[in-house]
Amino acid sequence: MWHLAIRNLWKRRVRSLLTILGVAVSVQIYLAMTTMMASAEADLQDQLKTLAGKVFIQRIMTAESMVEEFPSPSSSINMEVAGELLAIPGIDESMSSAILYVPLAKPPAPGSPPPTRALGITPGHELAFLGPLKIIAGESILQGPQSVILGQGAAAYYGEESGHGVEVGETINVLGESFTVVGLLDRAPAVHDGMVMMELATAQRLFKRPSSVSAVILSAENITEVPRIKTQVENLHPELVAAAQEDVEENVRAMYALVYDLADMVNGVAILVAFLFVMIVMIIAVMERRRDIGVLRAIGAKRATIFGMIASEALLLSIIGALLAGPLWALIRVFVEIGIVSAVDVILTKWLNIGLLALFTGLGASLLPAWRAVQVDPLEALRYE
Amino acid sequence: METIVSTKDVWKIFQMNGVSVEAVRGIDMAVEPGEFVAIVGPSGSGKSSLLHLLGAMDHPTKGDVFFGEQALSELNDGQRADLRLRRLGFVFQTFNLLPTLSAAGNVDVAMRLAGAGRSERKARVTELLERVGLGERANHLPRQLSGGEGQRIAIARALANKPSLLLADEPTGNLDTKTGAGVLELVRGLCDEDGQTVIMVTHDFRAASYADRVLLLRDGTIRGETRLEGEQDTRETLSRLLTAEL
Repeated sequence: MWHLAIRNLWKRRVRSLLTILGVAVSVQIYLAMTTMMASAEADLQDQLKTLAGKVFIQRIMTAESMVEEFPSPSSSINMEVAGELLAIPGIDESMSSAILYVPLAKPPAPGSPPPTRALGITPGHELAFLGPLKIIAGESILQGPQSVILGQGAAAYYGEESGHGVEVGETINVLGESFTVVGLLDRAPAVHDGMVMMELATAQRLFKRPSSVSAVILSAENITEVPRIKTQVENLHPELVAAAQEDVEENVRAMYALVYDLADMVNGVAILVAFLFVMIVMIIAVMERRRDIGVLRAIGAKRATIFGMIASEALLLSIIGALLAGPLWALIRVFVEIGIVSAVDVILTKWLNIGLLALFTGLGASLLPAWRAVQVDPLEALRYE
Repeated sequence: METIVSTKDVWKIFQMNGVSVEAVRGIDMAVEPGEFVAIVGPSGSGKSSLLHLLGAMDHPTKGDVFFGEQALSELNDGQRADLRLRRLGFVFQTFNLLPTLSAAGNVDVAMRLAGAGRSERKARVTELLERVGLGERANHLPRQLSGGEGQRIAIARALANKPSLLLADEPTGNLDTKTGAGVLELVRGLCDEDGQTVIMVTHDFRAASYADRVLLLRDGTIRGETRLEGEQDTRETLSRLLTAEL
């Protein structure tokens, strides 16, 4: 009965269009939320990849820093203690280092990370922090006390005035001092993306912390040694917090649990709105077409056929609406931030979500109105006055 | 003799606000193949209720309706719907065409429901529209048709699946005299030329005069019955029937 469904929708095309738009907006909200959360999850996974085989040590100084991510700008470890930790047996010295981490700009919003941060690290031990991340231009090793390696976010921040990101060979000004950019990092997790990496001694001088660092990164020679190293740190210095990859992941997930819950709630509401849109319109349609339904039943249409007709209409509304959500979302993204190609990529990866959502919305929302339609008694519906 | 449809002591009692209304009271009747039977009676006589029972659209309170040898009480809802689709054709007083479909579409929908193929449907729709004299109105919507044209399309729809029995409930009730006569001529032609079996319910004796046999219904029972042998004695025969009943 698809042909009847199409004709019925066309007869009330303004109402059909408004319903489709309603579904499209709801699905678009769902797409936006799931994409945002997927990006956040992907970012988290990328960050976690850099943590494999490592133990991260910092000192919790304030209540706020209990929930801050690593490295925490409010953490402070004495240089002697740092040296002690770096001497623990079983660590890969070249992949281990003390680091000093200081925000260079105010966060754009409360609770969000600062757009750029200074990271002081022992020269030659850059990979302790960079891990598997790629350098897209220049060097992966600092070239002297006035050299820096920038993340993409930091390069954009310092290139704001010129209108293009800072490139290798150019200079930037940090707290009144000039630094030459010797390397640029590829797109990376947030912690690395805003990074201005410099020599540890330079950072300690610049930020007036000659005898302390923010944290220590220890890389195990053998990944199976991570638990032993972590326990040893905790035994040596109970005042310090040592975290391995799984600890960091647990903390981050706990921190963002509320965000994930909120996103799930928004998604649930969006789906419910789409559902209600279609259901309300179909209930009205069944009420309006009581007589037509009675005629069909009188001439021999089975209840299942009537049910199928109503379900077909509901499915059409939700499928068209859901399909429209993709281009609608892409249009918004084009105007807001990214290029058309990236938007299309996300649409293509989300096609299964869109399809399932359309199916669920259409079929689910049609149940009540279709049930009401099959209850129509042909004699009552066709009763004359 | 073989019958198309028959009833055996069939009753239909409605409960309305605690009051029982006996719309059909113990009717026994039978219709043979090729017959045109008119059921005549005033408003409230139970003729539409009887038609609904004959057409498997309603369930009797007592007794049974038989389609051939098949008792309708033995059929479930789906089987009754199937019977209405494939063996019965309905024509309603208010035509009841689907407003979103064209004339051809309305005729076609009955065959779609029966699962007929596209080419078969197309050929049959063309044939039926020509038969009812509306071949050139195939693409018109119901609101673009006159009353008589609408009823002719309804008749074409009722014939779509080649039903054994055509049931007409006051088919000329909403039409002027001349237009109504045209529709009745068409129905009469279906009987004479195609051997179609027809049961028509009407309150109009003039409409009843097109039938082969007239049943007079009053207060849910058959009060009289007569055969109409020819045009000449129809008026006289019907008058006698009415007088005898009074």
